Amino acid sequence: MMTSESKLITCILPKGHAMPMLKMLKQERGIITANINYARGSGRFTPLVYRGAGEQTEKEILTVVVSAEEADELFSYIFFNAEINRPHGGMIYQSALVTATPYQIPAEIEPEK
Amino acid sequence: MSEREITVLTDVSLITCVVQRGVADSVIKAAQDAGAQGATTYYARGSGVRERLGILGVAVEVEKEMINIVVANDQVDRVLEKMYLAGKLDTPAMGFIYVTALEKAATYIPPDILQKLSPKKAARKRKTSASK
Repeated sequence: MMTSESKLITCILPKGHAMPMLKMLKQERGIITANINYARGSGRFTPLVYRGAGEQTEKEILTVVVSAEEADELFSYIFFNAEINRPHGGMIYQSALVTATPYQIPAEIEPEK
Repeated sequence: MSEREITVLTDVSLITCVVQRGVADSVIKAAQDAGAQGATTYYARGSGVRERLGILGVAVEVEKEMINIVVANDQVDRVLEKMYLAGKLDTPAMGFIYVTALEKAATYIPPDILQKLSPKKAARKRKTSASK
């Protein structure tokens, strides 16, 4: 089993932002180790906070496993391309992984058109 | 081309809490009262203790709620304690909570807060944009 030092980048994004980012990572950077799941967010500064306490908004969580060498560069890439740097744009964080196995599509499978 | 900057936050941790479905809101309320700014919640399915507690596994809710909260390191202990108590995590099968160290985090930080943190840098930025 081959392993390499890896990082986990997690983004909490507003609804509708994760899939374009996932496609961008695949098309522009060749990264296929990204996943999306769905969540609800609550906070003191949500867009609906004016309606009272307890308002929640739909969120998408994008998780990407990347190699340690390219982690910092990809962190910036996702930060700007997922438009996190704007009000209610979500957040991004990075944590170290102890172990991660490589995830590659077998060579005999034709690339997606 | 406009200047782009990331204000990277270090000394932050991720608190993850697994509770039975329906309990998350009270745990989040406790976390926010203790100083947490926000929380993200999603659903999951749990297994393990369920088979060993209750009658035929009906006593323990199989549906779980996962709560993620990013907090500053100096707030972790306080927020964790409040969440632990609100979720009654000292009761068997109510759930569990753990902390993950984060290397860095980033989000939108309003300019007025940035200015308070580093007034010289903000003044320099204003000067640069005014001269353009």
